[in-house]
Amino acid sequence: MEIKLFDSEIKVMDVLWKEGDMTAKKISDILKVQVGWNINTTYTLIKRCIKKGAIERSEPNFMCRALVSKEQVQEQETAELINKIFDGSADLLFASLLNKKNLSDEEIERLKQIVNNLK
Amino acid sequence: MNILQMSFSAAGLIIVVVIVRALTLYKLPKKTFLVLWGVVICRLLVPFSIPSHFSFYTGIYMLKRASSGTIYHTVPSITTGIPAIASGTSDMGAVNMEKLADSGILTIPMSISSLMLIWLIGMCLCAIFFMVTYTKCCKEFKTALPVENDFIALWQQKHPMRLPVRIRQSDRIKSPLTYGIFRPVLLLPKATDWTDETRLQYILTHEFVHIKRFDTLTKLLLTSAVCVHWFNPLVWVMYVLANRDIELSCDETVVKKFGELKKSAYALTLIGLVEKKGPLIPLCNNFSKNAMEERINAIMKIKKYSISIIIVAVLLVVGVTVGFATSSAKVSDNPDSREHSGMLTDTSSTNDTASDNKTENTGEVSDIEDSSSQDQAQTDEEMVITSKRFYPITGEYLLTRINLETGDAQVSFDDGASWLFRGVNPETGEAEVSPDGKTWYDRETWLTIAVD
Repeated sequence: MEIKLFDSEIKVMDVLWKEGDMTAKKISDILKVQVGWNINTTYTLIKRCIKKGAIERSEPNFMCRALVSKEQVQEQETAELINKIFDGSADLLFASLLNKKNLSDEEIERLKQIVNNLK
Repeated sequence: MNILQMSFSAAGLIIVVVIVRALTLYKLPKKTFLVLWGVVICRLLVPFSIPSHFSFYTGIYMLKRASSGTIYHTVPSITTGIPAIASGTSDMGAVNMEKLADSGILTIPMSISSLMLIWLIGMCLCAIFFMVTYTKCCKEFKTALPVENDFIALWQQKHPMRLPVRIRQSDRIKSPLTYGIFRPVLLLPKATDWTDETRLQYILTHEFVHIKRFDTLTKLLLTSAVCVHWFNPLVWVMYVLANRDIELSCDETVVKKFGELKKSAYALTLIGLVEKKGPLIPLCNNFSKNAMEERINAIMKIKKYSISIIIVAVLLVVGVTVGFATSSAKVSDNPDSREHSGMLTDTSSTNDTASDNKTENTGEVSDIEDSSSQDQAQTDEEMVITSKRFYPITGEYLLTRINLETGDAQVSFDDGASWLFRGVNPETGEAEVSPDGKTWYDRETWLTIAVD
């Protein structure tokens, strides 16, 4: 299942990923300090996540549980990035990442080999 | 002044400003146009006008007067507005007059109140549309995340504002914008190139100029004018052009700040932003709107304005304001022309008390007709004699057009209604017009509704 989450929604998910299940009230308290959102804004975002199937709500006290893991979202975002920017080639993404670190061509070649072998 | 008169008089002014703008857009400081739109907004939202002898409408009025055989009386008070426009209103009143002739006087209040209702409904719909869109946007904007960028933090320290400005980022918008009037928030798209400090600097400066000038408030005013005058297409034209001019003026300020040499760099920044254009969001200072070409042109043609250009701009503003934003002054060659203007305070042969109490000239008619068989208890109402019944005539009438031969007179009210009367001398029962064509009967005005 593919869930497209926007940045602000990921921020909400982040709290659940880090701290585990908690009430909506507590999420909003944390985000108020962290991001400066008021309670309404956080609740709007939580509701959106519920609608998208990323959070499950249970009573009492509007308990929230993450339905998707951080890894799932990471994987999905990476896949999207590869498809969008690197023409579907993971090698190119890897090369781009490595280029930034100023690795030698040789090293890159070796790393690419590892990628290819693991494919 | 009623809303139609305000809309009509402002429409003339808008046409003039649009022409002036088209002719001088790239030559004058952009603030000139903002001031002119400000005058238009006043005209649209402030319900009275200042008469001026130099008004364009004074000229029109005098021309009309000179070419017309009939005699007009104007009420030179502020509330009655512009006679030239008022005679336009009376043309619309002519429709009412025909109805009057067909079906009697009661159709007038009907048609006026239904027009009023349509206007109110339109205004509410417009207001609701803008409010819902704005609230939706705001709800979305509030989910923006804080920006963690050293350059921006440093830049903000160097450019303190009277109002605390929060800078946030969002992946839901495509171009930078500011929202909120008193607690402004500057939103940057997540896709912004955070490393391109020159560009960031232009964007931040542009949005800060918007915040400093309370452009969001200006846009709110513009939007409210559109809501009130939704039926007037020229007001929509003003809305679009004034919004563009807000941007143009802001660009001008930014370019002046950085120096003219930077104007192409600034223009390129704008073009870069337009490539990722977002949806049109009302009430927000959207960095990129349509008319981009006009904007780029305007930026590239910015130069230092000489004193003479500034003088021209000031003269233009003063000229347009005095000539088109004022109403026609009282042009009178007859010292007693006032006698028949103002309230129609009529008395009847059975009721000799007239009073100054004012009621609406619409709506009341049917009420009084129903109670006309009662003894005239409403001594505080203004009365008009018909052959048998009394009708209250209230409000201020704008002008009368009297037929010298028959004594038929047309009276237009400031809400656009227009009634036909015949002057009858109560003593003789005859239609009577004095040689000057103005008076029916010397001290009081006796009016008969000419429905027969």
